[in-house]
Amino acid sequence: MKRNRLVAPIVLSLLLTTACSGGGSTTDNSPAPSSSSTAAAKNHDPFAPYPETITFTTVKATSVDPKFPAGESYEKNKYNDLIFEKLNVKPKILWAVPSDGEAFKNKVELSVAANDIPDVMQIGGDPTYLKNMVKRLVEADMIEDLTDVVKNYASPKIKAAWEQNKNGVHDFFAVKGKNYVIPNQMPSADYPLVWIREDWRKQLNLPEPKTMEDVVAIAKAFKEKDPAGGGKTVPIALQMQNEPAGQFGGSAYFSYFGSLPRAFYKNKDGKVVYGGIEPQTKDALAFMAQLYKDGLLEKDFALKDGGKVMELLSSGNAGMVSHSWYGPWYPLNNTLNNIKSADWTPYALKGKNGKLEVAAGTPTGSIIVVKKGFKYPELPMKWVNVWNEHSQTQWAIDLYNGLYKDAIEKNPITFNLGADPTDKDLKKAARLNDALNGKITRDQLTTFDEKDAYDQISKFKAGDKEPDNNTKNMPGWQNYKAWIMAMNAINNANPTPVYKAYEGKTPTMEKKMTALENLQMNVYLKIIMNKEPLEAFDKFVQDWKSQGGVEILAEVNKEVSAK
Amino acid sequence: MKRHWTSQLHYNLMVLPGLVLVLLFSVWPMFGIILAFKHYIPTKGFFGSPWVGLENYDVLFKSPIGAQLFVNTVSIALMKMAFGFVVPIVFALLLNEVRIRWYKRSVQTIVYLPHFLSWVLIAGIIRDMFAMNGIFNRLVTSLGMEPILFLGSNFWFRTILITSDVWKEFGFGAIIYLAALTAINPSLYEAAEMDGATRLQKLRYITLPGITTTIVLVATLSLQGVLNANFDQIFNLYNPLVYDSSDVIDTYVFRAGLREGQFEVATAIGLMKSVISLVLIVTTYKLASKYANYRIF
Repeated sequence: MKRNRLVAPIVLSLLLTTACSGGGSTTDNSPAPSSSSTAAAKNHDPFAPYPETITFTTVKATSVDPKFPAGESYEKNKYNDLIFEKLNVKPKILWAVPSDGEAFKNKVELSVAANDIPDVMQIGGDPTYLKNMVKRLVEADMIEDLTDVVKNYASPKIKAAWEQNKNGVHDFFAVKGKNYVIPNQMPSADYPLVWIREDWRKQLNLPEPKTMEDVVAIAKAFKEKDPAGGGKTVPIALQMQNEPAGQFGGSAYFSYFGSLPRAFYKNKDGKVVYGGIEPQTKDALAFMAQLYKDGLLEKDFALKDGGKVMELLSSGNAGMVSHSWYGPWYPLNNTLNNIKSADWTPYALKGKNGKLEVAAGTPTGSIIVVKKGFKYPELPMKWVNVWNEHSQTQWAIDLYNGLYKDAIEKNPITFNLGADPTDKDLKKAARLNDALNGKITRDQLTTFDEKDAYDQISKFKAGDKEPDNNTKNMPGWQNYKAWIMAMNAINNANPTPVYKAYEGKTPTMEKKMTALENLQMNVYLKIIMNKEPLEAFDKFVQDWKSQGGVEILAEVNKEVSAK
Repeated sequence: MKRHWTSQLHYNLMVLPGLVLVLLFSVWPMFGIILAFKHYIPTKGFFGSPWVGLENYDVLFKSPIGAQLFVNTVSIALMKMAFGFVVPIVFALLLNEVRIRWYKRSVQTIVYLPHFLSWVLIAGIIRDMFAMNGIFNRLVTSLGMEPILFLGSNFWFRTILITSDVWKEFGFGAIIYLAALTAINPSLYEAAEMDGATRLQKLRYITLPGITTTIVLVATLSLQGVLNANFDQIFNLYNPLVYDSSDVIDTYVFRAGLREGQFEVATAIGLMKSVISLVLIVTTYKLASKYANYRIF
């Protein structure tokens, strides 16, 4: 009766599911693929259709309210039809849960624990989570070795994208030199920008900021002049509930001091250090404590999660925020929906040392794994091949802007996994810039989404003199602010990537990292909120080291040097 | 014996579904407990997974904050037990003295309503009330003081935890005392009145002794909850600023264990809590049977 309320239902569900699936698992594990793989070995065509229709099981993270056009669903839709036409394969979705929050992760967790995963499964998350998941799946012998599949079946386009990054993503996920996943590869352009309410800045006749001091001066002016009215102005919106530099977090301010508070990276001597205890982090905290003291941050910012800060940004009461280049799509467009005259402009600020340093991690956020014993391990690779040939064609744009115009879920394809060169976004921005400046013509733009962005921006620029142009031509405003202004700001600042040396989990990290990260947030927040003096940082460094940090750094250094 | 069985066949048949449920959902899952001492590998199942001894307890006991978690858990639970014990008794006694029937009834109904609200809901209300521009801070500023960050302060946060817990549950807790009060023979009060006893004397010499058994019983039985500081409530309200005072075993295990998919850790901690609870249940049952003459078996 007094059993832990968390444990009882979980243990129970585990038991029931293992009991139910226990009979099937033995047959599933029998080695089936040997015959088919030798037969297929003669023909490594990355786009070859299967002679007979193959139906396989999978799972899907979905949108809560997809608003599909009539006749479309997650299982049967125009996107999946294309793959069926090209490859003769059909997914059967065993379960689908919303992609928001933890629901999908929890459900995957239960499937894994119950040894009941589908034939093919795509999982999303940060690199550390994904790597840990792969490690567990391999340890449990639940997934296929895809080394040969990736080598033999990846299309030339995808291979080229991976090689552009020196196959870094594959190396990252490799277990004992073997490759068990098809990873996505994303353009890495997550540079910390400071987005400022341009209409307020102009209204108060303030100059454009060049340095962090200018930014602080603008924030102080916002505080003093209260452009939102009624004392509602929040000069700087900041979210720091559970991580120092998360969404709407302190990235821009930390990076100004060259601090990467949650990253393991190599210092000048080639030793791996943890950014959270390095001295420059102390400077960043002192800076933010001053912001708090001057009333530029919300008094209770530490209690607000991402959703609450998003509300604040949407309400139009916030003056600036540290956010990524895609800000105009999420959530700065909401400000324009609420306030017609609003405008946001991004600024990239060089740090104290004259450089814009950015933490560069493994550029991946999604993987596909294949259940051990599934007869067609090359199937998802072929799927990804076909999809990447079509994802940026007129066909896709027409579908997106046509049949799916009013849908919330615009692309319900079962496996939406891209392999893009890591410099794709910067190159796209450069080409768009050239096209808008007349250096190249519209027809020379390579993909259809580039042409779409070009058209939207041109329309936006044409309406420049009209009132509330930002709101009326929102897609143009979004494309312009993100692709032109943000990317130009980043390019001009000439960012220096600081590569993360380690993104996995050592044994001591598994046991102690949660407690250490809690300690870190607790001390950081207390320093920023002036509850403890800056000297508390020195004690935190001692505590961090003595409570397991020393072991963790030793383990990380050993693993990194063994590579 | 056989005749006995057949004559009671219909009773046994009626018990059967319940028995099956108990076996299926309470006894059979108990084998899952071995997970507490194993490293769970799904393909190998419960019985094939390798033994790891007490390693699953490392997350708690070798954690730098293990000791603090224990202190937080026990002190929050004890404070909740103490206040949650006294307030319903006082309330029941006060309500018992109310003469107007409809008033008494409606108060009783209103105060036990919060018991049926979920903590997710109440936490939302509390967050709003104690926000920087919430109702309490407006009161504070109208008195000319600086607004207080209630939910970010280690002192206020615990106070809020305990008060809100007592507020939510005292009405429901009072029901058992009100029931016990109705069982007191009215002739005792009549006799006392004849002897000229005051209201306070009646309370002291008739009412209190009349419900002593119930009080002792409730008090002893609540002891088993000493390691349950109420996960639902804390999880929905806390934040890193108040980890010092309010991070308890359950919330930590949730963050460090379940989020990472370490079911064996959650099982291990659950088992430990069950064992401690079992010891406390046995002890309190002994105490209850000794002092309050309460027996189930």
